[in-house]
Amino acid sequence: MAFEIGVAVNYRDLLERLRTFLTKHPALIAANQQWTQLRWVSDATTQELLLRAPGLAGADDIYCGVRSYENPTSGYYMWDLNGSIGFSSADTFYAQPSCLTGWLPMMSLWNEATPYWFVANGRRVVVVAKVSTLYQAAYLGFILPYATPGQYPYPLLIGGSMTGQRGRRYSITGPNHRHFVDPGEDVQNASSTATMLRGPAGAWLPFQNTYSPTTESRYDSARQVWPGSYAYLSVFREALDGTYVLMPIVLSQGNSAGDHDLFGELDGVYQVSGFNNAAGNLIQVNGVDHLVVQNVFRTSVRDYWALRLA
Amino acid sequence: MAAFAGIVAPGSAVGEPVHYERARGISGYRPVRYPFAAADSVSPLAGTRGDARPISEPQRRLAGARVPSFADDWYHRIHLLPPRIDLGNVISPIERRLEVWNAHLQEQTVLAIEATGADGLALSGPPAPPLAFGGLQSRTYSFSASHRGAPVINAQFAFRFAGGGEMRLTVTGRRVVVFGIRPDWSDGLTERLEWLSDVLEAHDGSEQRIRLRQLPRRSFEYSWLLDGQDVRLLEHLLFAWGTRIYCLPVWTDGSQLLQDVAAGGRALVVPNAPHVDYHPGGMAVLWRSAVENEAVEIASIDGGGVLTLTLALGRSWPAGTRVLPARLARLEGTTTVRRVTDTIASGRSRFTVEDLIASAAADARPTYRGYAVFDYRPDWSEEIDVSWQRKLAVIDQGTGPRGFDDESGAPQVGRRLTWLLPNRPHITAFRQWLAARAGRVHPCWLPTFTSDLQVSRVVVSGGSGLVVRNTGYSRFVAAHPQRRDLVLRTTAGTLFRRVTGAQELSVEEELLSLEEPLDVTVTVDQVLQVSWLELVRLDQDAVELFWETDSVVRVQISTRTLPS
Repeated sequence: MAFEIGVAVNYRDLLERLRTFLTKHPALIAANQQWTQLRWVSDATTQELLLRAPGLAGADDIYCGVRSYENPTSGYYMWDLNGSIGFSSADTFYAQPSCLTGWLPMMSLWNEATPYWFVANGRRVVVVAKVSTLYQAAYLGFILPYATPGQYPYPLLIGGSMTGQRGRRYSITGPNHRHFVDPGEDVQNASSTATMLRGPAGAWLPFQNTYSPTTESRYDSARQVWPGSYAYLSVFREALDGTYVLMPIVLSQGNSAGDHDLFGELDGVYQVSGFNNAAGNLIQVNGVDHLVVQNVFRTSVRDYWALRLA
Repeated sequence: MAAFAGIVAPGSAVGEPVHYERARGISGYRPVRYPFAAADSVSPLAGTRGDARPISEPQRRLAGARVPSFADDWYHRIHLLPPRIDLGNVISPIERRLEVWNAHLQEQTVLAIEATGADGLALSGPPAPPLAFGGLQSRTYSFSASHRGAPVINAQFAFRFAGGGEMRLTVTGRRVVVFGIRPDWSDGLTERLEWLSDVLEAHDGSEQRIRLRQLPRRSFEYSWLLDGQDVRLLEHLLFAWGTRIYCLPVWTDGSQLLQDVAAGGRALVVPNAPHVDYHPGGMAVLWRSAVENEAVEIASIDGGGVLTLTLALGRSWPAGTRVLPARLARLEGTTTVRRVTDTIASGRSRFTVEDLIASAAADARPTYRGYAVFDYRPDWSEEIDVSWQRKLAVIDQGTGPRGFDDESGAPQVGRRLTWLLPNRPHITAFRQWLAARAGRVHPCWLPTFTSDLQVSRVVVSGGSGLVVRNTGYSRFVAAHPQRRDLVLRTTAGTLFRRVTGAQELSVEEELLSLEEPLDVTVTVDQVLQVSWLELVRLDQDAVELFWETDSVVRVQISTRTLPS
C-alpha cells in the first residue's frame, strides 16, 4: 500500500516521521486508509503517539501506539509499543483499554542517524530501523487471520524487537532481543515477549521460539511463530534456479501432540533464507520489492526475513 | 654466598608485579618500572569521529518467489457464510444469517444479486446492489424463508461482482409433509379429472364450445383402514397440516426399488417411470410406512426409468422400498375418521392436486374426416343407456292447444358407456384420449357399437352401393347429416364410409350409396357388424377413473351427438 524509506535524525525524529507517514502519506489518504492520531505528546525526553487505524474498508477501529523515552546514562533510547481495543483520553499510554501490560514489545534505538523503512496500510504498519549495523523492527496492527471477521474480529499483533528484561541497550544479545518474526525470552513460557497477539478470546497471547540467554535454545513453547520455530531452517537455501523463497510467517499454538491452532499470517512479512543473502538486499517477487532484514545482530542463515515494500 | 643481580620482568604491559618474594639465593634486585622506554610515556592521541552513518552497504537485487499458503486460499475471494443453507422441512417461517465477506484486500462491488427459484425466500439487510464491499469487509444479510411457497426449495442467489466474479448461495429445503396413509384397496381409488368448458348452444342446436380451464383439475379419493401407530399419526397430520399442502403419493403408480440406495445418492432406478406419473420437476416418495418415507424432487427422467433427483437422498433405502410419484395435494372438505375400536380407524379422504401439469394428449387412431375415431369397445357388463332427446320448445299458453318447435330438427343421442381398462397401456391411451377431449370441448367419432344395419348382398371391390335389410333408413333418415357415417367391421378390415343417399329397393332391402367405393370385396358373411358412426362430445367435464387395482380402471362416460 504505502511505504517510505528515509533516514531519521534520531529516534525522536523517527517517531515524528512515523506519525506523519501514517496520518498524511498520500497513498494512504488516496486509499482512505490514513490513520487517525488520537494523542500526540512531545516532551523534552518523551513522546507519546496513540493511533487508530481504519482497516482496509474504513470499517475497523484498530488502536495502537508508540511511546519514546531515553536514558542517556545507560545509553538506551527506546520505543515502547502497545495496542488496545479503544482509546481513553484520560488514561496513560500504559493504561489504555485492554492494552498490554508488563514488559511491552519495544524497539531499542539510538540518538543518531537512523535509516528506516515504513510500510503501512489501513490494517497494520511495519517499521524497520537500522541502528548501527543492526536492525530493529515493529509490527503494529492486524494480522491476516485464518478466520472471518466475525470469527476473529480483532487480530491485533504488537510485535517489537526487544522485551527489556535484560537491559535495554541495543547492543545486548540474547533471546530478549529478537524480532517479532522469531521471538524469544530468557525463560521458557514467558508471559510477555516481543510478539504479542490479541487472541480470538480477547487475551494477549505471547509467542516464543527461543529461550536461555546464553544459548538461545529452541524449544516447543505453547505458541510459536512458524517457520522460525522450525529446527532445520538453518539449512534452508535459495531455490535451484537462484530465486529466494519467501515463506509466510504463521502464528501457531500447539494444544497437544498433533493438535495445533493456526491464528493467521503476518501481512507482508515473510521468512527468507540468509544463505548468500544480506540485510538491505531487495528480493523481487512478481515485480514487488521485498527488503531483506536481519534479526537484530544475527546473521546466520535462519535469521533473515523480508518485508514487502508495497 | 654469591650474590647475583636479577630482574623481575613485568607480568603485563602495564604495572609490575606488586608482591613477590625474593629467593634467598638472590642477594638483590632491581625493579623494572613503567615506563620501560621513553615511547611508553607519550600521552594517547585523541581520535575524532568522521560520521559516515548511515553506513551504506553493497545491496544486491535478488529474484524471489513466494510460497503460497493457506492465506492464498482463504483470502483473495468472496466468502459466503454459510455457502449453502439447508432449511430442512420448512413448517414455519425461518430466519438465518448470511455473512458475505469480501476477503479480497481490495474493494469489490456487488453488481446484482440474482435469485432463481427463490419463491418465498428473501435476502434483506444491507443496501441493494450495486454495493461496494471494502477490502476485508463483511456484511451480514438476513435470510428468511416463508413456509408458503414451492414445496421443494432449491434456490440460488448469485452474487455477481464487478469484474465477472460470482458467488452462489444455494438454499435447499422442503415445504412438504408426506401423507403416507395408504389406501384400502378393497374400495379402490377414485381419480377425478375435471375440465371446464362453456358450451353456447344456438337455436338450431349448433354449438360453440370454449375451453375455460387450461389444465384439468385432478383429485384423488380413497378409503383407508388403519390401526395403532398409523391412526395416531393420521390424527396429528390432520391436526397440524390440515389446510396445508401434503405431498400425496400417487398410490396407483407405485413400484419397488430393486436395489438398495444409499444416502446422498441422486439416482433412483424406477423401471416404470416413463409410463406413470413421474415428470421432471415433480416429486416422488420413497415409502416404507406411514412414518418412514421421504419426498424427493425429480430433476429428470431418462427412457430407462432412471430418476435423477434434484437433491441428494436424506437417508438410505433398502431394496423393496416402494417408490411412488407424488403430487402436492390439499385435503378437501371434512375428513371423517370412524373409530372402529380404540386403535382402529377407517375413513375416506379426498385430495385435490395442486401441482397440475398438462397431461399428454394423444388422439385415438384412425382419423376419419378430420376427427379421430375412438373405436374401443365398451364394457357391456353394464347396459349401455341410450337417450333420445329433442331440442323441443313447447309453447303452452295453458289455454289453447300447445305449440311445438323442434328447433334443431334432429335428435340428440346421449349414451352412457362404461369401459374397463385392463392394463397400463390401455389406461395410458385412454387418459390421452380424455386429455384430447378436454372435457366437452373436442368432439370425436364414436361408433354406436350396436348392429345398426344388416348387409344382405355381397359388395364387390369398387362397388359403392351397399344393400342392407330395409330398416326404413331411406324413408326416415335419408342420409341425414347426423346419421350417414358407417363403420363396417368385416373380416377384411374395418372400413369407414359416408352414405350419400338411400333408396328403397323393396320391402326387404334398401340401397345405400357410399361416397367412396369399397376397395375390397366383402361377402355377406364376412360382415361382422355395421354400426353408425356418430360425431360426439363428452357430455361431462369431469371424468372419474375408478382404479380397481393399480392397473385396472373402470370409467363411465356420457356422450352426446353433435349436429354435423
